[in-house]
Amino acid sequence: MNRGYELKKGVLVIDRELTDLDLFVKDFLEVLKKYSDYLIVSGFVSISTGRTRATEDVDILVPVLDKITFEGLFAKLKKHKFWCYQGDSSESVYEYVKNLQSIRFAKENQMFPNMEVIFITESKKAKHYEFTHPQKIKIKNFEFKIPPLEFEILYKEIILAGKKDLEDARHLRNVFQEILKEDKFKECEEIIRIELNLMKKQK
Amino acid sequence: MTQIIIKKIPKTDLDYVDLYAENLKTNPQLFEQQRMLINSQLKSSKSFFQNMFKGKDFKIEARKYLKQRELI
Repeated sequence: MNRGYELKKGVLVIDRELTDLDLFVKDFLEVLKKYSDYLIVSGFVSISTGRTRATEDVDILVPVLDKITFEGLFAKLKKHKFWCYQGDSSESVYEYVKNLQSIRFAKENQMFPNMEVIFITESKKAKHYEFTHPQKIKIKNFEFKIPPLEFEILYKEIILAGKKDLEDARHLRNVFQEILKEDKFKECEEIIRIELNLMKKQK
Repeated sequence: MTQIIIKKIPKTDLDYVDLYAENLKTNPQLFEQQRMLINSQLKSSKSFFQNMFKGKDFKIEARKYLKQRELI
């Protein structure tokens, strides 16, 4: 592993020790996975692959949950000492879920980091695409799902396009240049361009 | 001591991103530095907010803080 990572049976294995941020995400996922599928997106993808920058939130896509499932998840997160920014009862917070508004969880007596849970439906085409084409990544005993690298790079370059996003994308392009695929870039770009056009029309 | 190999003089922030990423592939010590930085940031943040809301209900104060900054 002389480039910091290996691709083992489709899983991206990163050769480094876990950070406290990894442990926070791992703790959250251990609860979430019992209730729902998920996809970690955005800043944490770059940070987990070595980008050195600060972050306050970890974005995670989750399909919109029914009320009963959400109640179970909410109670279990509380039991694992997570608190929700938006409220203390699953009933009040579910209003956000059904309106597809994101909600955030941090550890008790802490503000940051937080998990920003972004609820998605199949109608969100780009998000649905990345969600259904996950890339597994593993750091020590911590395995989780991220978007295809090509999708993540282009989403940051084309849709988000802020300074931090362009730097994240550049980091990913550089670190993973040996495994990035041109045909995958083309496939992802088509979907992202459609999303961009939709966003322009909505403005 | 961590050794950084510089192939060209970085000028922009993106040049520094390139330089770091290039070195990351051959120098695992950079991952250790990154770990120390992230852990230190989280420790500072935890300590900052716990001091700010000391003796008060953390969640109530945290929500007031977040509302003031239009984060919720």
